[in-house]
Amino acid sequence: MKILTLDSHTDELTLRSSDYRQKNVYQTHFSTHEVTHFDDVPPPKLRERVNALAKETGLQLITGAGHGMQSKAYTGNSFGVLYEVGKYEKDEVNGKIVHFLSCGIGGQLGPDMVTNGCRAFFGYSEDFSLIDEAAEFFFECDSAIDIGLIEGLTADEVYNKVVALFNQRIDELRQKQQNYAAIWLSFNLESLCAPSLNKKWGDKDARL
Amino acid sequence: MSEESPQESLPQKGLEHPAGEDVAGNTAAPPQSKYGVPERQWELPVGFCGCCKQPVTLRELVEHAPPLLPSDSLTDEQRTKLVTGRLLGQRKFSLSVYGVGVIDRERAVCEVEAGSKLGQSIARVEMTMIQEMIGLATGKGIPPKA
Repeated sequence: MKILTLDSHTDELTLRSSDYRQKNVYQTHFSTHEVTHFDDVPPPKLRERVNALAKETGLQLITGAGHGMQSKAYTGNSFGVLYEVGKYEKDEVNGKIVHFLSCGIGGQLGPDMVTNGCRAFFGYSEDFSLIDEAAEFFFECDSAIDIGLIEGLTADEVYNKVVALFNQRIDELRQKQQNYAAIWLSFNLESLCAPSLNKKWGDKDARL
Repeated sequence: MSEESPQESLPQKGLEHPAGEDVAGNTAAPPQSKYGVPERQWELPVGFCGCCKQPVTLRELVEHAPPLLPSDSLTDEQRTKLVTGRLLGQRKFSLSVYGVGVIDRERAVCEVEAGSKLGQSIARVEMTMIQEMIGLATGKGIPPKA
């Protein structure tokens, strides 16, 4: 299966998520697939490369962790815009499943992608925030989306599995008296966007 | 927030001593739920006294039971003062936010005072934290989601 990963890693936060995803998702769960990482492409060229590769036949999944901009745009390294409402070609998302760990883009960019043919979109409608001491839990919960998808689950099954993991980790944090982290993780769960919650994020029966 | 971090956590009541015993091993102990409150939280404000309108810490609330102003009746100014008071009372503060980056205590206070979207999120989490801590400290448990 062809997969495109678009992780930013040019600041402290995105470097952490990029490292986590490399070790716990890409090297473990994506290793038998045809994965393209645009790690070292500078921002001006990266948008062109994404445009070209995303339109290739066979690409099924686009996933990444990076900053969002005003719910309309997903950015890569150095805040270079990779996907922005109204500024990408339909074929870049048509027939694909998209998952972005990013702030707010579930609000506008996600539904826009679905309007352009994206089969299922996973993201967040608010700022995705994390507490350092529990960062692994935060990344783990989000990464369960990619892992569930690559396992062949439907978008709905992925959503249910991810929500269960979020709730399990929230309980564990409370048991460890890390209530503050638990509340922030709960806040992220509340802003999770998925087809199961609304058709504007795609088809809940979609699967890779 | 650091008072709950594994690296910096202060001695937690109940970790060394089973519920029902105090430090000296006496059995006349506070409610078991009190053991679930991170140490630093006892000194942070959780509301305002309904009589004198002064901030009330969690410890003062449990020990003296002053009437608290209902949280939904706080003015914007009181809410901001309550949240920033809690932020400033932390030993350290660090929050990582996609779209923003890593923010420290001073930035967090500014965001809350400015009423930005991020500031509102921080305030919302702090207000939830207050309800959880009061629930734990008074033995009522963590309030269900509204």
